[in-house]
Amino acid sequence: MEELDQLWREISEKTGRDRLSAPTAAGGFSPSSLNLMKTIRQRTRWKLYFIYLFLAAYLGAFVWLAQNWESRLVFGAMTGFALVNLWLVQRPYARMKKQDLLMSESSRAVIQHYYDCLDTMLRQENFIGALFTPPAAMLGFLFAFIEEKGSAAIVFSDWRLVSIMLVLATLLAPFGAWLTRHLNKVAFGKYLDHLKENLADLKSS
Amino acid sequence: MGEAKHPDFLQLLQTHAGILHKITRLYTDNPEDRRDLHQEMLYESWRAYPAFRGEAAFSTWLYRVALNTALTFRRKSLRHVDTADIDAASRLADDLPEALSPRAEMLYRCIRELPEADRAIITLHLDGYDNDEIADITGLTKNHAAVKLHRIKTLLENRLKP
Repeated sequence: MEELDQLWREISEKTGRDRLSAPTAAGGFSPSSLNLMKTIRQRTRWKLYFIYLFLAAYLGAFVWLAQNWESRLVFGAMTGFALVNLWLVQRPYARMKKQDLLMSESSRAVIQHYYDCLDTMLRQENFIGALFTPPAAMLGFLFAFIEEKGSAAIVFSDWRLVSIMLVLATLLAPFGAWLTRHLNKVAFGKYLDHLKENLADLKSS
Repeated sequence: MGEAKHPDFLQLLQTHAGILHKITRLYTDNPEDRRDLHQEMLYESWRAYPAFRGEAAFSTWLYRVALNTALTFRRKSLRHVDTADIDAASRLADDLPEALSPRAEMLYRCIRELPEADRAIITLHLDGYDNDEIADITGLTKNHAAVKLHRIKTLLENRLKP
């Protein structure tokens, strides 16, 4: 054990002499690296902006674009989807902001917090990708068909138009789910595994 | 960034800069990641400093922030060092601090090959923190920290045997 201490003193002396971009007393410092919590919050914030934008567009279309009650129903449903989406994203975002832990907590608490925030964000995106994309696309097509044919009754009585919408939804559901999962895995998969591994090491006895 | 806001912060950081350099070295294996991690540590410590109440020594507080940053650091590419991976091994060899004795170099390599959480535990221990402090910093129970530390020390001593 004494040898370990001795060797460690040597390592401490040598590595302690390194000089990277240490701040100077006169100049301060400007961090340029990417902070993950900042990235997650930024990404979630952008998602919220998009939801607000779509919500405004759907409401605008509901008031000014929809000519009959059927079109209004379509835009009403889209607004409903956007509101549910907003609820799903807003809640964890508020939690993320509130519980933005400082790094002076214990390692286990900090890693758990990072892991929970990232995991929530990814699960939420996967859920939205799989469940909301198909009905949103279907409703978009339904609105276009209603505008062209005059009423929803005519659209639903034409099996070709109904087939187009069903095929679209059937294809989009797995594709949307796969694409979201794949993109998230590429962007955050390794990092999530890394946190999970460190967390397991701090939990296992 | 706020030198005027926390005039003593930069002074303290300068005094204890070695802690950041040591941890940065132990948790990265290339200069680019090292620069990024170092910047990240500076940012996190500056952000957390207003909550520092002086209940523990500044060095202990800085150690905690630096280790937490290293354990949650998002590398540009996550490269886990695998001893069977010749590229990784040669990269590690290129990245050793200069002029270490062969035994110190061996210890340094062994510590860097440990899982990240274990690396934190042994680093804290070798820098003189007791089991209570290690448990407090890492979030392990005291017993768990002691068991882990015993295992790590045995492993290192076995590897260092001539």
